[in-house]
Amino acid sequence: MFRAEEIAEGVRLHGLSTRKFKTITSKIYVQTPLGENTALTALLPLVLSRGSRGLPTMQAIASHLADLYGARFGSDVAKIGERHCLEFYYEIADSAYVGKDAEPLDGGMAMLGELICRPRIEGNGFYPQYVGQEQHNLVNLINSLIDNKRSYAVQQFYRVMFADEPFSTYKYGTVQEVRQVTPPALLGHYREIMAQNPIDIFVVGDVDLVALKEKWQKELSELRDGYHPLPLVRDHPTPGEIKKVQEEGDLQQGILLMGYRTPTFYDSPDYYKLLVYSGVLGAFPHSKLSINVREKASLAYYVWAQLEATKGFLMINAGIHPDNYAKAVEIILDQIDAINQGKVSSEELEATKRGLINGVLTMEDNAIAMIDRAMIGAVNGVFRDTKETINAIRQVSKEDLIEQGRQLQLDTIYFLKGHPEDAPMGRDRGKEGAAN
Amino acid sequence: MNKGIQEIPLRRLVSQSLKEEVYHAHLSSGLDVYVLPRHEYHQKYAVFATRYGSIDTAFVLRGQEQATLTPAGVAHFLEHKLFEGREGNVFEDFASLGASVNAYTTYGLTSYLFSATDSFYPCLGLLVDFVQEPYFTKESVEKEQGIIAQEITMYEDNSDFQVFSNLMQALYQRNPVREKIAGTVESVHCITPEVLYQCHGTFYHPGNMVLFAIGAIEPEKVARLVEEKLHNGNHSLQGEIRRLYPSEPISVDKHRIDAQMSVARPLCYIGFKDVRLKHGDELLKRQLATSLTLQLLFGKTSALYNRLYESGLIDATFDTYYTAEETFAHAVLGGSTPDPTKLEAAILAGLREARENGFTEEEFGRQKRKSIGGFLYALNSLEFIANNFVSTHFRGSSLFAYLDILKKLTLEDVERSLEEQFKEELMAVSIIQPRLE
Repeated sequence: MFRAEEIAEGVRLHGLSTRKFKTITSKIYVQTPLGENTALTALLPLVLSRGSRGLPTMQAIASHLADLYGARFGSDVAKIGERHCLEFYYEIADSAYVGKDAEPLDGGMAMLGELICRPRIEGNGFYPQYVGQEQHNLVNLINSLIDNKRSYAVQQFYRVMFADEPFSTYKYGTVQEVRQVTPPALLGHYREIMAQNPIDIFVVGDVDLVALKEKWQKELSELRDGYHPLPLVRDHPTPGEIKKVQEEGDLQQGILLMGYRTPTFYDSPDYYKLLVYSGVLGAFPHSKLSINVREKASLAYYVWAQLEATKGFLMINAGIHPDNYAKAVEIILDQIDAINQGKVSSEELEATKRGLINGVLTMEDNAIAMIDRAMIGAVNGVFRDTKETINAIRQVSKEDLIEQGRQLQLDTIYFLKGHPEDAPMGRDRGKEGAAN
Repeated sequence: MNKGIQEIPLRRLVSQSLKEEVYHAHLSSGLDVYVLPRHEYHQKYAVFATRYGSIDTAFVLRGQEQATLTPAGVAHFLEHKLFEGREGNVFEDFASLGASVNAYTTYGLTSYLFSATDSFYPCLGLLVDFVQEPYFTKESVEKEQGIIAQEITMYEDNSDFQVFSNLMQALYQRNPVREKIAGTVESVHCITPEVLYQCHGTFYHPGNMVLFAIGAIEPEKVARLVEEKLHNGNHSLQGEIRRLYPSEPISVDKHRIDAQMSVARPLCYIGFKDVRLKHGDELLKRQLATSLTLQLLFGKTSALYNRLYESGLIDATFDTYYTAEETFAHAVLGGSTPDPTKLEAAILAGLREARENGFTEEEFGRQKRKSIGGFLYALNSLEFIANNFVSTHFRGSSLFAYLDILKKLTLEDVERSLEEQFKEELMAVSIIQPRLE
């Protein structure tokens, strides 16, 4: 369990001191409201990782990281409910394993501060060449969403289900927004969010947390000014008529997505009831969806349910043959009905709880998984330790599932429809059967 | 406990550099069992793997002269099918113990694994049982054909998968590595219960398998439990399995394969076939040396990478790797690019330049440190350790040797790799262009 401490106004250091791992892992999140200045926020991690004041080129950064026994640095944006977070990841080998010349805390953490807090600037903006090149790369990334059909389908589904809500925003923004960014606007945005927005610093490993606190206080002291807390969005719109959207796509498979609204959010005491519900429905190979859609009806290779409790919805995702749309939807709806009518065996319920508890404990063996889970807690303002979580899962009853199920409201059924008759291009299909 | 079982001798292997130890037992059935205690972790993880992958499509059965040929995708099909036991779905058995079970098939092996935080020993028993007890019916095979057809179609819609499998077809003329691991919808429809029983009987003999377990567990207890499980089976010594691989010509099949898909930007993978195949520690050394060479040539610290990135010819999707097995080896590099032809030319020019100038001790030392750190990161994951322990074992080497071999690599090793590998005549390019509407 992390020990959280506010080290400056709006800046929390979450530390977990342990010798379990051979490395020290750190992640830093800067929270912004989703849907505002999306392109500016999305560009920042790309431009910051191009060069800093002390390490002005990508090659200088890469060489320095390699010298620190291949320390790893990564940056991206993440969407957690209606927060758009700037996300930095850093990992460095523990000096116990690589020898005395590596100093994780001094050399290592100083590197992270350098990259995040001292960007390469020219005039009144970020270094223009980097901004231009990364705008170009980001435009390519946005346009490439279509290359991965499963991610594309999910984003299209969000656009339908959350049409008038910030959650429909694609985390990398739109091509038009990205093209409008100027180096001074980007620097202005950077300075504003580094001064005012919530910052969460996570560290897992064999580190001196007191020394680390002082380091970050020093790093951020010049940047912080006038903290603005962000409100937590807890809207629960009641769906009207079910939105059914089908889109034709250039793919062979069909991708089916169904979304249910729920009033049970992550910070609700009922959260674990809904978590178990989604587990019984579709988080495991023994769950109802897998047994009935995959094993019994042989309709899909993958079919699962996932809960996004910061935003408050349950999503079902399946890859099916386009001709089986109606059949798959029917079987999925039947499974929801079955749970809501209490048709859940004690074995199913028990197996789901055990599976979830196994997952919670397994997360403790992975520093990044621990951090990601704690960050969801930070956004929602609720931290639950492992023991509390396990107890809460254990207490969920069949009646709790019925109660949660009755509050679920089907909002959207989206289908990205493929063309199975389209042969994949460019291959000599005749040759493939030759192994028979 | 079982009186029929003698004390099982355990050998302890220690790695000072990793601060780890592993226990090894060779069981009467011929199975090698390895246990790596990791007491501070909640997770316990076991892998039961057979040296049988998608490339093992031709072999000679014991007592026969004639080769047996099987359709592409049998190893993967078997992997799916073993999860359906005589008494039902194996997933549910593990679920009732709160564990998660999974499996995967590669070119060279099939692995069954579970992850549990408690009930480790009952799970271990289940693992050994379900992998060793095949049960196939005509109906269940037909049902699986439907599921696997959806899996194959899912891959076909993935451009990274397509560009890669096209590259394998270009690099190799006859080696079955050019076939997809799951096979094709057509080849999978040729699979029958008889084929599955025959392949299971041949390749799932304990002598062709390995079991690796890691976590807060006792080596003696693991070895004893597995011994008990296998003790009653009829595991008469089978002798070597004769696998038949077509002899692969040196040259590539095609220098270039073009395809079109619904993608926004061209995707380009460049492959270099490596024809000097190795075994054991030599293979591991070659893998490490070549991976280092690739990093020196095209990694983020190289001048070439930075030049190409600045010019927009590559972006963050650009990556490189080298893979080596006993029957094939190749290096792959690539990603999204606006101009595949230009990228190919730039890569070749970069290779020529590096051959003229060589690498400096400084660059080499830096990359080596990076690789050492990278390996330590990976050791935080029990899953990584288990899966890589097994694959290294089948290649006749040990994961414990990894760090020591890496530390001993010299600049000469890397320069030799640069000279002997990455030949232009052994290069193939696979390109996916955006489909024109």
